[in-house]
Amino acid sequence: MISLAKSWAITQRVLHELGRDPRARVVMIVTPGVLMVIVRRLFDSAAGFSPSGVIMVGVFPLFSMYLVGSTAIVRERAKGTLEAVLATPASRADVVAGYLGAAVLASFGQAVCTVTLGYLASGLETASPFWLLGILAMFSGIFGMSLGLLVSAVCQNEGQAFQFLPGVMIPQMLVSGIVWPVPRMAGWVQNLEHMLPLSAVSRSMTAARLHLYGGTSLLVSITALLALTAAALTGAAATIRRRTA
Amino acid sequence: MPTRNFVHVSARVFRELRRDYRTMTLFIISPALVQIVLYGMLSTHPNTYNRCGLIVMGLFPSAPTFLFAAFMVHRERHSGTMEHLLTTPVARADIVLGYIVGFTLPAIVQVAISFAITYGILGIDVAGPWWTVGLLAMLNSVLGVGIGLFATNLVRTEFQLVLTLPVLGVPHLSLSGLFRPYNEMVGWQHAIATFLPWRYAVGALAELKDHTTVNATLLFNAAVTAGICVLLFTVAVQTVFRRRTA
Repeated sequence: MISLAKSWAITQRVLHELGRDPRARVVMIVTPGVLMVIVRRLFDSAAGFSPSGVIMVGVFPLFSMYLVGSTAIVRERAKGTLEAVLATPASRADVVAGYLGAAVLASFGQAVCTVTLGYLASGLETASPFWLLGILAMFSGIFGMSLGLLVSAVCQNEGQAFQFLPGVMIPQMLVSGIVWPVPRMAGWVQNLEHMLPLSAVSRSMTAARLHLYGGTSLLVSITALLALTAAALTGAAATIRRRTA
Repeated sequence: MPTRNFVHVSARVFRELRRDYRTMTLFIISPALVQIVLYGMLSTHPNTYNRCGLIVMGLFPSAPTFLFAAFMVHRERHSGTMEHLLTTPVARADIVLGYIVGFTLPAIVQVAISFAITYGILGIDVAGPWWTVGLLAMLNSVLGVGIGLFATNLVRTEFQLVLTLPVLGVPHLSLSGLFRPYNEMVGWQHAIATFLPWRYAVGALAELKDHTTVNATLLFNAAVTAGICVLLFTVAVQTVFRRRTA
């Protein structure tokens, strides 16, 4: 099915391309942490910041990876790079695995930076140790990249991938509890929050903040998150195809 | 000076946008969707909802016009459309005015739907008259065009344009005064916010929550916003709409 060598070659190529663009590098690695430092000062105390702050540790990496993933692959689809790649011995699964590998490595760097700035510069307070939050941040970055790959199937250009933000991503972010605690929302919004994909991220973060190692609720949300990532990746692999028209 | 040729430019821009019906649907519906979600989030705290709902209602029109202007103009600059346009008799000011009008027309529909839902169905309760909020919303949609045109100067590829959102857009929104009023920000944030266009847009809108009439603070903030628009368009005329003969 998936060939490690071929996937790794694609991973290297993707990372190399992203790395050549200094702005993309900054966005992927540094921006989520810097945003946390800015948002921290909108709150009076570190204790008041923590409930929103931990969710940001998950949601900001997801957003930046989504942007990078969706725009990069849309361009490759539109310009024929993907066609060319699929003409090589690499299979569709290899392509998706290659992108996933790039997401894993980039998410790792991003998570290190986000967690460092979150704990040292913003005074985040959590019951679980920092590395658990880092791992969760990495998972959400990977989820973001998978969503980006999936969304690229229905977009003709980068502008259209971008348009999913105001209509699809931002409402989810609002409901996730990042700006206003979920228990204080109206009942129907809380029901909505149960069903939205982004809630898997925000809930696992909140669980890790409240309990040491998160407990059962972390297990449930992390399972949901992994299942959603797998679903998005399968969807992406199914829609990446050679068009011979 | 702009001539009547701007009508042709704006008609062309509007036609192109209209043809991309997926974009249009998403953008006409998204502010209403955000308002409904916001109401659900904050309806248990009416005071907070009235403030945030008002600001979002007035500020949201900046977003689509920014995207339209930034992506479309970026593409046209790099695919040569702009060059072709500048070989015709239209003046550069015509082009800028044409783009402003063309991008702002869909914003009218969007604002109308968003206002109908927010005032009619969600029943937001603000002191200021609705038409003042409407005028500020339209001013902000023009501001969005200005920021979008300006942004195309900072980027080389469409990908970098997308990246301006997390790097510039999110901090801009954080410090605009939507989450924490300008006067209550800590020192360095206060200092940065002084130079942000949205700080003035939000400052003007926030006045309407408690004041029934247009007061001096609102006029000052609206005037600064309009001044920023003029500045951005002047820069755009000099930088974006220029023939490169190299």
